[in-house]
Amino acid sequence: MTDAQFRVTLASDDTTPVVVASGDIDLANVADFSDAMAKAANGSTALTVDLTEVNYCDSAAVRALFAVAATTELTMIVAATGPIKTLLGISGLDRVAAVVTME
Amino acid sequence: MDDSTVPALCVRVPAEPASLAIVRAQLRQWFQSAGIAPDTAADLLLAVGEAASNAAEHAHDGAAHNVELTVTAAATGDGVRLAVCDDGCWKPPPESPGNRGHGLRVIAALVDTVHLSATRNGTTVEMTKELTR
Repeated sequence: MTDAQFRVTLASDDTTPVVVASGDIDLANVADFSDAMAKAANGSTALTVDLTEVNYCDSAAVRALFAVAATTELTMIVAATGPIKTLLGISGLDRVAAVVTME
Repeated sequence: MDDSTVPALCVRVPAEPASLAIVRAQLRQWFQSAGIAPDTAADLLLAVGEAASNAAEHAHDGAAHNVELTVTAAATGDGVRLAVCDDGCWKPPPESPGNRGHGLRVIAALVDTVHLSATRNGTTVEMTKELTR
């Protein structure tokens, strides 16, 4: 089974809700990732998704993120180099959502 | 590659989402045995993962039997050859600018060559990547 954790921090008066993902995200658990983002974004116009602790994710996660970006102001935090950054660039996700890189 | 004599890897699993983690665990171990640098291994893991994910998602479309997914990795003289095969009868999605069909573009960006063959008897994605010693 694919192991991942999705920590959800709901919005407060002046902060954006955050989902911190870690582990692997693939077809087997991408629905959990979508659920976590929906729960966090509930009623908020913006959502931050931190992917810096994700070891593996692919187009399954990209599709879930595109769906969120269609209705929400999405910011993703990713490692400055590596396949996730490549994935966001090739898919064009970095053109519909903000990307913050961490060294 | 530190050692081009590392034995080839062959992983055969049911073509379903739950198999993807198994494929990645085997590949991660093989990349390490083959002495492939972690950054390169992560790129190759994503390339294979995209192809395997496509197979796990679509291989059962229109198939009357239990579809198997076979992933192989082998050291070559100057790099690695990777293949993802299934015995289903799906058609890979055409390239599109929408948010579907990214898989093949992602693969093409990560490896040196990618060859896709889809027949009535299955789909195979073959990839090669040159590695500096």
